[in-house]
Amino acid sequence: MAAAMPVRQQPGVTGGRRAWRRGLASLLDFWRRFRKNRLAVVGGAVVLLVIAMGVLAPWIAPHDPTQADFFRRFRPPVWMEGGSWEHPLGTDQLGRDILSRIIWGARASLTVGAIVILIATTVGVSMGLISGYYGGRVDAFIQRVVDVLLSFPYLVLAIGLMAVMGPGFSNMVLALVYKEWVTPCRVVRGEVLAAKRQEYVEAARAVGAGDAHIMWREILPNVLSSVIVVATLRVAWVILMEASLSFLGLGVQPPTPAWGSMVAAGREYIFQAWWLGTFPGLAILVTVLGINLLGEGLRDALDPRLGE
Amino acid sequence: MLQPVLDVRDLATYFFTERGVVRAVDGVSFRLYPGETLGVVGESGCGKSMTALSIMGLVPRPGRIVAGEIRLMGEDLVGKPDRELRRLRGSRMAMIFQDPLTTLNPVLRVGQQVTESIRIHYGDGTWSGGSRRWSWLADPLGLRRRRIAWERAVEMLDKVGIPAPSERMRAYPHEMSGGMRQRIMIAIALSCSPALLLADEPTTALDVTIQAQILDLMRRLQEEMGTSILLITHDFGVVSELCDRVMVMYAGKVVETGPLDAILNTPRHPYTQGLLASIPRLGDRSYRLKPIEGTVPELHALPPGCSYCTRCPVADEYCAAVAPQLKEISPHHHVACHKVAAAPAMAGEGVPS
Amino acid sequence: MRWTPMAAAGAPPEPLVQVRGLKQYFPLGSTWVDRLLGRGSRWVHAVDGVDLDIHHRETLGLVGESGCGKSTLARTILRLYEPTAGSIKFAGRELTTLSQMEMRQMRREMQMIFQDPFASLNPRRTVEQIVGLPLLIQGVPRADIRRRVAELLEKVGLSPSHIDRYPHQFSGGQRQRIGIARALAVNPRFVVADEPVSALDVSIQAQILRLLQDLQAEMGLAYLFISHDLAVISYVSDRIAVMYLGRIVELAPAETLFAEPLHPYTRALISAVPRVGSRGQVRERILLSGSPPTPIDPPKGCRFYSRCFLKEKNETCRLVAPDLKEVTPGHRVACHAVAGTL
Repeated sequence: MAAAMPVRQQPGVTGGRRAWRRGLASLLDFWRRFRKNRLAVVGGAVVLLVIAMGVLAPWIAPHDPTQADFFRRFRPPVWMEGGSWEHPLGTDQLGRDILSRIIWGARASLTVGAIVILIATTVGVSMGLISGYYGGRVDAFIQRVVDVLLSFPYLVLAIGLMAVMGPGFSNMVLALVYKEWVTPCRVVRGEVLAAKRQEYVEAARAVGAGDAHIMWREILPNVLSSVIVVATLRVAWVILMEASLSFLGLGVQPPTPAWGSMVAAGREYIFQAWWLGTFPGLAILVTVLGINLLGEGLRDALDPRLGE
Repeated sequence: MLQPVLDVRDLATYFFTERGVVRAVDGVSFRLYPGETLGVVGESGCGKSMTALSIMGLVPRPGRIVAGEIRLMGEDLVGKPDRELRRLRGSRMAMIFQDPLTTLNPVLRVGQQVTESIRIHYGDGTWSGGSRRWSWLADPLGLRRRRIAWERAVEMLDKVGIPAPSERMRAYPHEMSGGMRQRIMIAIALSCSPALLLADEPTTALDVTIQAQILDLMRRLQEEMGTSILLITHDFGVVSELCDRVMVMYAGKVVETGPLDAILNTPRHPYTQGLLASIPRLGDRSYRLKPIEGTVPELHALPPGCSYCTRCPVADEYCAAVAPQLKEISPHHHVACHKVAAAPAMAGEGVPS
Repeated sequence: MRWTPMAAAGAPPEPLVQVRGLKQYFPLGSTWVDRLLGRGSRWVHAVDGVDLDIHHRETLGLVGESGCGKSTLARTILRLYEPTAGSIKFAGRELTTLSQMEMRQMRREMQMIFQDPFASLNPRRTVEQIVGLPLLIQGVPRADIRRRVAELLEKVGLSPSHIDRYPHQFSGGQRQRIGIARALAVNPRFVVADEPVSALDVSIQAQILRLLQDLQAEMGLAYLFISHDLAVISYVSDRIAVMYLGRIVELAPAETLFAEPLHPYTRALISAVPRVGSRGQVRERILLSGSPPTPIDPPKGCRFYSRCFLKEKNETCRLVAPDLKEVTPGHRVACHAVAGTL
């Protein structure tokens, strides 16, 4: 058994180089496991593509997304009669190029998604850890707040908040964070309740570890994979919320392109010019699906126990 | 000669996993005669539980029986459609498991669970207490069937030593202690008077004093009902209490089998000897335990020869290359070991080594 | 290796661990039905008045059936639970009044080995992090920790090259070795081993028992060894305490306990153990009826009253709890009939 194993590295090698090498090794390990799940790789590719689209928008978009042209209104996509390669996905009611608007619109969606989830996850994970670990009154208080927030329909709460704060990008982020932290909080609390009863937590306490160590070093790594999964799945949800708010005219303000407001605008012309709303809708669908697939792949790949 | 209740020949159950083929049961043969108790002993992963599940036709995916015969009262079970196996499960053969807490459904009353097997097998011709195939014509609402099942269940609870059986029929599993729950499991298993009882570590989850009660009960019921028992356990103490014959398994194969006394007093296979030397003796501190070195090899990467050669103190290159076959070294005592076969066979009765 | 009273001439040496009148109750949340009926909250009497001494370099075996409170007792001695009442002295120092900071210092001296080799190791931490944790807490510099962990792995029979692996890459027996290395990292004097071999296969069990014995001899450890397995307990222990429903009912040197058990429960327990080669043998066999009563508001008198088979049992047993009385030197029993206090 033990003696038969090849000696991989000499223990006692000190300094940052070892840590770096170990980090690289575990990263490769992670990639090896992640790669096995084909759908997740596809999802990851889609997400990368959308991110690249947003970042490279000024260079790859064929037209200025805000440039109106009243002589080129309602041009159909290229494969339909009257379409041309100049506007592959057609033009909208103001004659703006839809493909360019979708490419630029990725910026709004992804930025909102990333910022909201980053803030909400940080807040939610901390709250969930505290709530689940300490229990008692602290837990009761945090969970009542969570219950109150959950009892409001998401959209109604966001609309109400934005009505008070006024429309705009940063207000939209705030309005979404206001409720979004609840999900990671609940998930983490549940996992912490299960994890803190594990014998390894007791073992850490038996050697004299303090609460902070147990929460952040022993328990958090064990709940992290669900946090990452929930976060990716919620990014999809937040992008949908951004779309909804923009659809209602509360989010990203015109003329800045956003998928949600494009769908909203397209709604009016759905019978005359279906492509106005359909293509941005498809962009939302594909992005959300990609993120979901990626999330599930991440969950499986992040668990070292599933690796073997 | 007496017809065996169970006749297993060259049974092989493999698991087809991503990491390779796991030979959980690899060429196991044995017979079990009426009223006999055969103990199957071995450590976790030796294939003892999988042997029982193969007999029941309950091998979980991705495993399946790839070869061999399992004859229950002369009828081969391998390759039988699941519908027919279901007919035999619970009536001709029954199984009890290690943990009575998880094998009883917590939301159903005990009575419902004890009568279930009787209600299922009533009238399908497998249970002698049930009536003929067309009896439902005389009993269209199943009232008679229910009544008979209920009466039989109360009788069984009484038989396994549950006080006030008719009242306990209405209790839920959580209202009972672990020992009581295992009694219920035994009552369920024996309710249709099966010819074969498979007991997989039936007392491992129980406390010592409760274990003694259950072993006592099993011994008494066997005398009363004449059931043949295949007892799977890791505990030589339990084997000594209950079994007539013992079969020792290692890495999916039978390494030694024989009468209880021969296995306990003159074990010949190094693994059996090692196992017995690993068990602390009660109240005796005058010696040091001699553990078997190393661990069980991974089942998908077994050596080509004897599976035990990696831990065996007497193994040589020949052992690592050629798998030994079971050989009879004294009446009914079989050992699969090159070293034993090489030694002159022991004369007559076993002499303690 | 084994401590004997003879070793210390004159006055008996002070025990390493001295437990007196230790109680550990857990509240059972009162339901609205209880409140409606005006009942107060109920208590689980997990440990209910235990006196115990553990000497230097000795193994004290603690045996009992599930739910008897043996694990709770061990954890309370290590102050993983705050005791309800009683005193715990370690090397003469009272533990129950120490602050969390002082207690952290004391943990250098007292460590624990857990039952479940799977649950007791954090799956997300490497062997270095797991075994090194007690060192980190005791303020050992990070640079030294890795070297020390490698030494410890070697000591418990694992390859030091496995230091960066995760627990799931080891077998059950190897994991238990990791757990032992963690407990020994800070050179403790006292180790609680809570069912350390119960989850292991027979051949692996023997390896671990041998390892624990060798380490005891090498490092001069005192063990509180908990098990439900009488054979294992009898093999490792110098003295054995038998526990039933939160109390110690009998305490004696190992040989004495098996040669002449006095308490009816001990007798039943010993006779119930299935023995290798016992079939057909005639031996006294005491089959206890029923199972232990629940530790929620347990009976007032002798805890064993409901299952006791002695002819002598009477009202005194039912109403008055017997004390643990010394009947012969070193042999203590809590039974009215045996102690002659009926």
